[in-house]
Amino acid sequence: MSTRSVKRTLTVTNRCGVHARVGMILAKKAGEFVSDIKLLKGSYAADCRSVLDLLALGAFQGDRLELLVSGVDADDAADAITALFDSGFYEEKEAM
Amino acid sequence: MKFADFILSGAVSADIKASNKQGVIREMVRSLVDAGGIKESDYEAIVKAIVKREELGSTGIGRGIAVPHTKHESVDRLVGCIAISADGIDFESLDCEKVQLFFLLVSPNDRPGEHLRTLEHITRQLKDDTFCRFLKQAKNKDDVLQLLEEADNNSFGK
Repeated sequence: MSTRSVKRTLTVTNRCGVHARVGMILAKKAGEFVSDIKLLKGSYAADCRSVLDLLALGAFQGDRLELLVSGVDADDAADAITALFDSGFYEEKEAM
Repeated sequence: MKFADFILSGAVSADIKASNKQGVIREMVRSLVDAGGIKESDYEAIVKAIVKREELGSTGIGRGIAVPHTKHESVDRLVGCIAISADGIDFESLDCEKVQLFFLLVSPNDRPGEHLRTLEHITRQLKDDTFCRFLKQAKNKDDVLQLLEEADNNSFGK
């Protein structure tokens, strides 16, 4: 397999934004892939495997983030992260 | 935002007595009561809510840091406390590392933005390795307060 690079723009749709539980969900999902996965808000970049990094983004509802994925499973990783954002992180009844 | 905006100066400890997760939460919520941030009558309910939130997934976010938190109707602004354990405590963190730095937050209901901005502030500051290391090494409450004040005065890198 060859290395692929994927770049997408994602929108934070859930009401509470990228809070601790969402950060945990993203970091766990990112850990399922070998690709390097980054989320950027403006010039601020977060390693998607680090909850600390993800919380430091300060990603609020409505914010647009850039997803940058690079590696042999970049397409699958980008799809998985995109699906989480699209789902709103199943936030409905969950706590922050 | 500054640490002084939400950390109650009377709820700062560099020497956690508790040795387990629930004990840390109880000790920190107690410090909020003692500092006047929450009412004694709300103590048990807030401890219970924080423990319940932890059951959804640990707020141990890695690198020896945890941010246990809850919403509660009794507070009209976000209040927080900080506690440090020199040896670290098992908090079921994602990276399986023991936690040395605890920031416990109680937010008003229906103000997720304030909660998120506070998490952003704490984590951006803690990404500074020097600040994070100094906090973990703090020997007493005054050391911690001084470090928080220095961070509030932008003495550490961003």
